[in-house]
Amino acid sequence: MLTKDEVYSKVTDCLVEALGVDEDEVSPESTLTGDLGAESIDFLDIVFRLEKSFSIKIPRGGLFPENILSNPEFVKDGRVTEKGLQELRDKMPHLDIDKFANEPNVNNFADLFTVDMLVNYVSTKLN
Amino acid sequence: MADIDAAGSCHDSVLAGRRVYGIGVDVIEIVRINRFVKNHSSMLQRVFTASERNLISNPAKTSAQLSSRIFAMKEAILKACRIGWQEGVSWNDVEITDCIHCHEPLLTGKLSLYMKSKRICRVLVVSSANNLYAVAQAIALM
Repeated sequence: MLTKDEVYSKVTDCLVEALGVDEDEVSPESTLTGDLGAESIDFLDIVFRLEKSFSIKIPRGGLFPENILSNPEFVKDGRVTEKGLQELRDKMPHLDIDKFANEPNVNNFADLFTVDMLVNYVSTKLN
Repeated sequence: MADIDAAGSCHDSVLAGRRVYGIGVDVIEIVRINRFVKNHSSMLQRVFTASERNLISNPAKTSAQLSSRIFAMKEAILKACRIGWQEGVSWNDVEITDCIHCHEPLLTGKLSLYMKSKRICRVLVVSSANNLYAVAQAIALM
């Protein structure tokens, strides 16, 4: 069983390789897009590296919800609806939805995807 | 197809009597896709179908451009179809059959079932690329 620190260390290695960032740029609070510059193909790269590194299987959409912002049921007037928030809570328990729910502006959505979120997801998978 | 000419241009008849379900666009840096393909050669079957991999494996200089175009088209199609959290939809449910011209991709598996449930009857996609970027646009029609 890996400790959370060990998971964090391996997740950091994956991000350094996938995104070409320096290790000291990565912190638990770093956002994947805003701080580390990840784009769509990079998310797939990260998923493949995590699968290899931890010998786990990550289903499509299991780690990163896809195209939520184009679903009118879940987004209205630039904000994620209550239904959308509930869907996120149900399907994506590794995301910190409570904090996001205080100001569910779609512009803040990418901030949910942090290094800590990856660590939580992997830790849950391993357990 | 009668409504897409040999040069890949779509004619008005494509839209006649149809409603637009969604449009999708994607742009990707070719260098990133190239790096991805090189780093994950053993896992490419999860993203590209056999015929797509055949195109990509071509050692010609254009193969990085082609893989980027294919990836961008798949992304654009999924956006046009507004696929959200429909579990089980695979990258391989979309097969790009023409990297250059506007065409209808082969759509199968759970994506095909999803399209039926949303009454999407046609999806058209086209891509372009230069040395740096590939871009794709898709439209889903009801």
